[in-house]
Amino acid sequence: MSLFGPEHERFRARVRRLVEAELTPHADEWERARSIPRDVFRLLGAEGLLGLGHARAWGGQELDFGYTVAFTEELARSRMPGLGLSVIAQTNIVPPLLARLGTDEQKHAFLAPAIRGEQIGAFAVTEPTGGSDFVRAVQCTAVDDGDFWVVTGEKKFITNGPIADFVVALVRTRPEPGPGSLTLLVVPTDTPGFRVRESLRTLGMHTSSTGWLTFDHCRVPKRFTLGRPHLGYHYAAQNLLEERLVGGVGAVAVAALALADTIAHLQGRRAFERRLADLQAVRHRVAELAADVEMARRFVHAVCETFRDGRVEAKEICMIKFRVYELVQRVVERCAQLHGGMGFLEESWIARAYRDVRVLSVGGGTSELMKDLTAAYLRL
Amino acid sequence: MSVSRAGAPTRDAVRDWLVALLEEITSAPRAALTEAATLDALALDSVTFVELQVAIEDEWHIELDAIEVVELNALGPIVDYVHARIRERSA
Repeated sequence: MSLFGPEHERFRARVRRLVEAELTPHADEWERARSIPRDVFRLLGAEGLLGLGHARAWGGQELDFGYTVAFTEELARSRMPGLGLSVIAQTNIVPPLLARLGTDEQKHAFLAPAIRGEQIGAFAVTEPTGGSDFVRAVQCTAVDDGDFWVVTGEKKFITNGPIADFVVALVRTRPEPGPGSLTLLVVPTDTPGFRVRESLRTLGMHTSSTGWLTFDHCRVPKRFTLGRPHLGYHYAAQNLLEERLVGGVGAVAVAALALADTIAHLQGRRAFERRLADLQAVRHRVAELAADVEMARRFVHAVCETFRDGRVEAKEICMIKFRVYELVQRVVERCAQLHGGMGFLEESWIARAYRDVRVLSVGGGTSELMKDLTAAYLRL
Repeated sequence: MSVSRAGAPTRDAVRDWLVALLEEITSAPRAALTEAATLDALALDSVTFVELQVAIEDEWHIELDAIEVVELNALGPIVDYVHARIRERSA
């Protein structure tokens, strides 16, 4: 069954109207401010867009994954990939963990307010000393103290960290470096000892806040343990697959937008007494880029279809994470080139997109790790 | 390989195969791969854990619940689990 039917297309049109009316006009202002207002989350929550796949009991819409794909693609039209990243963290990174593993108390306290856009969540895995090999890299420790965990350590490069109301943190609860030594805890950010050490100044994605967080003997109630103790590695690893897949959807949408802008630019600009779009070298380059974008979109959609049907294709998602994400970087870089001097202006969207997509081959697992995992799936 | 009358491999055959696999992917000495050895002690990283899971699933044509494997942790119970899955598939 196709990913989209007529009802998805009606939904897509509604999201597009909302994005173009309420978000896109603010792109320049929010880029300069290096943040988005919290009201963006409330707006999307009030429109029912932050819990598309979640149970109605917690404020969700119980819609199939095709709606998530359509929403993510339309969000790219905000022309703020950083905003898209922050929203994906709020829709497809933190809530799935809470929905799958949370107790009713946790769902009341964190999932429902996140779906309403009233509380912002962050998923904290990476630390100053490492990220990709997180079985070994996690040094943030939770010590058992009766009804509490005492959490001490740091997390870095955390999307939405500086604005979060709660953090789902992967912490070490056993000293061994193996896969059964990590636990997920929900840490409200008003817990004494929690601090945003720094809002990191990143190369791109300026409309997404990225934080360096510290936990100084934070006493976290054991009832905020997410899932079972010591199984956090696997919960996190499974959850990252959805993040990487939805990120692929958003990345391809950005590439498609860059290509559409580029074609419009080439049709309107002249050189050598012709439109740029009439130059053969340019036409061939655009044809190649269009083929790249279309192949990427169809591959991502195919994996989304199986995901919708309940089958998680881990190997293919790893392939998307390195091959599609890097393809998007290449497409945007070449689109910037085809914009000529315009592509080098701070004020131009294509220049911003060029900076923004730089993170794709790093965030959520580096391309190098994805290739290692793919090789493991291939049993090389 | 030892095969039981039902056509499924014996538990010993599964254990020997798993020990050989862990020896290969973790470089742990065979003497350390007793039934009491744990995944935590073997310090598997994210890539080697995927290698372990995929190798078992491909070899025996079964699907593993990765979380159950981590909970079992020790090699002996994991052998029991894999052996039971193979027998279910063969039944």
